[in-house]
Amino acid sequence: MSIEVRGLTKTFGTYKAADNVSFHVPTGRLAGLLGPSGGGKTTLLRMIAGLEFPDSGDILLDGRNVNGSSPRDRGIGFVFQSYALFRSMTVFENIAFGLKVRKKSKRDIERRVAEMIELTGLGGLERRRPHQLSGGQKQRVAFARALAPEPRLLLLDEPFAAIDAKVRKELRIWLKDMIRKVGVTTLFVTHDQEEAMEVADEMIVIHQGKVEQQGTPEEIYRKPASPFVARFFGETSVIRHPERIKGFERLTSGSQAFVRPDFVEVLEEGAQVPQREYEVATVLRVGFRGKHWQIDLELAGDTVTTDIDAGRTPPQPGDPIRVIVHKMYVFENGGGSVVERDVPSGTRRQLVQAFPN
Amino acid sequence: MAGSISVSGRNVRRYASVRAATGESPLARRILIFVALAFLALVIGLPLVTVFVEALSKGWAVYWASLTEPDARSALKLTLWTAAIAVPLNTAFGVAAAWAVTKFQFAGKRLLVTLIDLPFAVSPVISGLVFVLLFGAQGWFGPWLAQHDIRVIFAFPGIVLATVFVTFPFVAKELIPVMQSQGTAEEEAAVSMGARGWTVFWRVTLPNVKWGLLYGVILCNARAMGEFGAVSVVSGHIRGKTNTLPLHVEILYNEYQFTAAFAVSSLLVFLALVTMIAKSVMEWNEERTEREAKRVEEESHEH
Repeated sequence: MSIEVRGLTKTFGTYKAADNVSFHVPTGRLAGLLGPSGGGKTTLLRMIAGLEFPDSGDILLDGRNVNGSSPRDRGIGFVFQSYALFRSMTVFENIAFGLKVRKKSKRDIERRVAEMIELTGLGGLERRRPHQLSGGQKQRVAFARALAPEPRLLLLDEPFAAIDAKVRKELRIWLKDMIRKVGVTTLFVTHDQEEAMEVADEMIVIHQGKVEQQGTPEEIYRKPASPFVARFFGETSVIRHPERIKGFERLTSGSQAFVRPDFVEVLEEGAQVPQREYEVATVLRVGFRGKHWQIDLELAGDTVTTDIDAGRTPPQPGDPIRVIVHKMYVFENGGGSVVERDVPSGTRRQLVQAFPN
Repeated sequence: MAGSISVSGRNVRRYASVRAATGESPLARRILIFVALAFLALVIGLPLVTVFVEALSKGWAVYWASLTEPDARSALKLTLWTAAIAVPLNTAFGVAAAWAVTKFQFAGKRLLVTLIDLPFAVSPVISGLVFVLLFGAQGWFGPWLAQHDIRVIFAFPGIVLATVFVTFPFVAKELIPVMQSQGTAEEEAAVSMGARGWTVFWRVTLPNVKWGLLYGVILCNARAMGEFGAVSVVSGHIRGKTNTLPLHVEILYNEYQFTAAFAVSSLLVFLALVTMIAKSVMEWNEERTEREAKRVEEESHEH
C-alpha cells in the first residue's frame, strides 16, 4: 500500500509535532523516518496509524483519504516501541488477537498463528507469557502480532530501541529479511542513523516537525539538502570560514560548510606537495578505531575530525600536520551544494586516498 | 546450567556486599527485631488471640449458639445483603473512575480524584449524619419520603447508602496506581489491530488489573461488612431488623454477653484474616512475575 502525506500539521500546546509535512512512500518500499528524538517522528507514525488525528492535512493510503477512518479501517499493523504485548495473554493469544477481533474462524486463526510462529521462529514459545520472553523474542512476537491480520502497511516505532546493542544488529538484518519476504510496505521510525542506513531503502529525515530531506541513504549521505542533515547524518565537522581554506577562496564568508572525515586528506610526512595546496593543522586527539586512526585536529579555528589508515604511523597530540581539504558541503542562501576544491593548473597529482564523488 | 549458577553466585556476592555496607552489628539487629516483634505481639497479636480465646471460653456449643441465635442470624443476613449491594456498586464505580482517570484527559479530572478520597477524609459518623440530614424525618427529602411511605433512615436503604459512601474509594484507589503504571500502550495496540472500546476493556484492560481489582474488592467488602460509625448513625439499632454484625457486637457487649460478643467478633476477625491472606497472595503473585521476568532477562544476556 502506498502512503501519501500532504501538509500534515499537529500541535500539542506550543509544541509543533508536525509542521506541514508532506512525503510519499510507494508500495512495497521499506522507508525510515529518521531524526533526533522529540522531532515529531512518532507523532507522524501515529497519525498514519489513526492513533492520533492531525490538525490539518491529508493522509492517503493507496490514494484513499483516511483522515476520518479508525485504525480498524486502515489495514495497518503497528509495532510499538516497547512492544506493548498483552501481558495477560500468551504468545499464541497475542498473535491471534487481531484475527479474533476480526471474527475469523477458529481454524483460520490457528492456521495463521502457526504460520506467523513459523515465520518468526517462535516455535515452542506459544504458551509463554510476555514476562517470560527475552527482548528479542518480545520483538518477534510484536512483529508476528502486527503481521498476523495481513496488514497492507506495517508501521514500526523505534523497533530496536529496547534491545541490547549486541542483539540489535542481528535483529535488524532479521527484520529486513522478514519484511522482504512478506513484501509489505513498511515505514519505521528511528533516531539512529546507522540503523536507518542499514534497514531502509528510502529515508525521510525529520527535524522539528518538518521534512528536511527524502531519498535513499546514499543520496542523503552524499548530498545532504540542509545544514541539519549534513550535521545529523554521518560524521561531519563544521567549517565556519570555508573561504580561508586553500582551494575554496572563492566561497563567500558567511556560508555554512561541512566536511566528512574522508574529505580531509592527511599528508604523509615525506610527501612532496607545494605549499599553496595544503593547510597546516594541529593534532588535538588521536584514537584507534580498528580500521583506522581517528584524528581530531584544529583547522582554521575549527575542530575537524578525519582519519588515516590503521597501517600508518599516527601523529601525536600537539603535532602540526599537513592536510588537504578536497570537498565541502556548502550551504548559502537556502541552497546546498557539494563543492570540490579548485585544483591549481598544472599541479594535478595522484591522491593518496580515493574519494567517492 | 553453568549460566544459572554464575547468576546466583553473582547475586549472593551483591547481597553480601550490600549487607556489609549498610548493616548494623548482630546485637543491634537482634534488639531491633525483638522490639518490633514484641510491639506487634502486644498491640496486634494479643487482641487477635483474645477474640478467639474469649469466643471459645465456654466451649464450641455456646460459640455456635451465639452465632445461630435469631438476632445474630438476622445481623449476619443484613450485613451480607448490604455488602452484596455495596460491593458490586462500588466495584463498577471504581473501575469506571480508574479507567476514566488513567486512560483519558478531561476537565475536572483533579476534582474527581479528590472526590474519590473524600470518604477517607471524613469521619464515618459525619458520613452517616449527612444521610440523616438528607433523608431523615427533618431532612431535605424527609417530608417527601414520608408522604410516599419510603423509609431510608433507620432502615435497610439507609444502611446501604452509608456503606456505599464509606466504601467507595477502595476499588478506585487500588486500581488507579496499577492502571497508571501500565499506561495506555496495550490499549493502543489493541485499537491498532482493530479492536473497539468494549473489546479493549474486557480483553486487555480488565485482565491486566485483575489482581489489583480483586484486592480492591476484598478490601471494599471487608470495610462494607465491618463499617460501624456511619452505619451506627443511620441504622437506629433495631434488633433483628437494622442491626449489622458490628452493631450487634456492640449491643451484646453492652449487655455483658461477652462470650457472644466475641463469638460474633470472631466472624469479622476471620474476614480480616482472609483479606490479609488475599493481599499476600496478590503480592506474592506480582513478585513471582517480576522475578521470572528478571531471570529471563539475565539468561538472555548470558547467551
